[in-house]
Amino acid sequence: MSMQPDRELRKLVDGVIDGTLTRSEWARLEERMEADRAAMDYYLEMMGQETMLAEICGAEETEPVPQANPRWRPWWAAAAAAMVLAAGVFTWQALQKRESGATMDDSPLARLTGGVADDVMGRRIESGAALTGKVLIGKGLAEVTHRSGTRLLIEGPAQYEITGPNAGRLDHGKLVAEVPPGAEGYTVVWRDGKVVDLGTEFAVDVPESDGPAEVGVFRGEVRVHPGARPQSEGAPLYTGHAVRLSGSTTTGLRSIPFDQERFVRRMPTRELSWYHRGDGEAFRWNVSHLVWGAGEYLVVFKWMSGAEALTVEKVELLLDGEVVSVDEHFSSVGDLSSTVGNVYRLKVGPRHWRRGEWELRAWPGEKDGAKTEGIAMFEDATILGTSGEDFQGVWEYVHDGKNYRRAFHPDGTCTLWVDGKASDYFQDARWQVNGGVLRVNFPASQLAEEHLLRDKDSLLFINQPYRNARRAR
Amino acid sequence: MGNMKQEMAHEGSEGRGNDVFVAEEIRVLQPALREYVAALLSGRDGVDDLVQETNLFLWSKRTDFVEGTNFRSWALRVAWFKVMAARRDRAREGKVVFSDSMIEMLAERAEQRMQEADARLGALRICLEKTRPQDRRLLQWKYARGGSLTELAAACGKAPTAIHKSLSRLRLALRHCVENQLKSARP
Repeated sequence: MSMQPDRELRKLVDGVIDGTLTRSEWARLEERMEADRAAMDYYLEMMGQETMLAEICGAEETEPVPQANPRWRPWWAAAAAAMVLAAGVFTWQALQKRESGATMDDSPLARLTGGVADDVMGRRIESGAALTGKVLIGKGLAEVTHRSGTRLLIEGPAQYEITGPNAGRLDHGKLVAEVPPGAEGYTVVWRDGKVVDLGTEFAVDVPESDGPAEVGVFRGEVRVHPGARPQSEGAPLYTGHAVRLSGSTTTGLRSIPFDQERFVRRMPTRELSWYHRGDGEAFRWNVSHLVWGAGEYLVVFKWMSGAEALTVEKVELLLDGEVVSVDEHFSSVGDLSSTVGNVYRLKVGPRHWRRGEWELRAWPGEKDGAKTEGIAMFEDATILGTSGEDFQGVWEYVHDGKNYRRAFHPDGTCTLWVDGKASDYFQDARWQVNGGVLRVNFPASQLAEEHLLRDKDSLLFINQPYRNARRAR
Repeated sequence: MGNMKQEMAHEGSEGRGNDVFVAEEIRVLQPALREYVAALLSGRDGVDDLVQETNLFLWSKRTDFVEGTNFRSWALRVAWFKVMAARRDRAREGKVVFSDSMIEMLAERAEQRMQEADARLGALRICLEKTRPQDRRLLQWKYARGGSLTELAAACGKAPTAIHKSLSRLRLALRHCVENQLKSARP
């Protein structure tokens, strides 16, 4: 027989469900349940109902979200990150995966594995951080990797919500999903449709306004379910094909050509390699996926091996073959003592920026016939806004097989360890930060090592041939 | 689940009988297992994972299972130990958990109530069909998307407490409806 709960019991059990019970309220609930079997049954019924609601509603698809009142702030900005509901259905795939040890039960549903993204409060998410709820991508790219191994490249402006270990919701933006074997079944939903993957690489574009969403398959097969309440089996879509959601066809889908160039399928490296044969040929790199908008960009040349030094005379940024920005000055790139002026700054005005093919060109100096190689780092100039405090701490890097650690102490001194042993290299050196560049000055030689900070955890060497250092944990 | 059976058919004949048997037992047990775990973990947090872990454990030990013995009590014992481990972790994190005596009482009572789990699930489905569209949307938001009520309140231009109250009323109404469904179904 079921009892009608009194006010107190109802409040206590609601508190359990909402996770708002205080310690003394827990004790009170225990008292009530100990004293009265009917109170315990009420608790059990409500707990059972909660989990079944999650099961039933989770298995169906979501209806459109209620529209925000336009006078209000964006509805997602008003609140903390949404709780995440893992789609916990017992499936054969899950069995196979768990058995092979491919997934970790206690690992987060997804992580930010590359690029730049913010949480709903507008805070920058650290690379590698666990993701819950919504992820906002402004301009640029973010790489999100689900627990299942499904890897997403999301191009901003975009908003993606993690809804499970192998599922998400794309509010708007462009997404390319690479689903490895074993992670089949990755599902992405948006306001009026969803795609279920059957082991593929595919793309979804959900425009921010009310335009129709598009789905294309690079390889493999997906099922596309159109409509706000997709219940059908879904229409299959195969390699090289694309569809646009359309209300005017009976299937809700219209076949369209798949414009693959519109989607970014690989996280572009910021480190462009160069190899100089000494013939004076310009270096050229396609940087379309690094020039995300108007602003200032830095190009830092780094020498890694070969002849003593490379000279560079001019660096240009071109859009569809037309020069948009130039920094013409002489620089020399070699080891510490022969590196000077190797940072180039390129401005792209708001009226000059648009989507297109962006090319970076660098013109080396004299044709001396010597072979040299190295990299050019392409960075957003906003990194010059970092302050001294941001650099403080211990940084780790590897060079020529040795493990290095360097520490920048608050008092301006620094320490270097090589393979765990303290070195006297920094004995008399002092560091300071000017204009976002850290200089370690060596009084005896009048030389300075220079660093930039790409993000909180990545320290770049400007004039040493070392790879980037990571902040030590 | 049908998927799972199909997959089974592709396997070699060795041990296949037991595989099919255990897979079916696990499938049938799901509603009851969920309720049991939810009762002991006090809510939805961690329930999916723990049920899943239990399933996987049962599956990985399927060859140990002797046909004819009580599968359910074996499964509950597995779930019980997993719940205890989760409870220890929660306590260590400073979260409030039920006392040892209470959790044992709850486990005992939950086990007694188990045979009606499937009927309750069926009844809840029927009751959900009857909910008003606006209530349905609220439930969808909360349970399918795991959406925050504060967010929803902001989206609808309502106070968060109002949304909380609606949801609380809705839960109670559903429980009432489920109870009536079960009553009318009983002989």
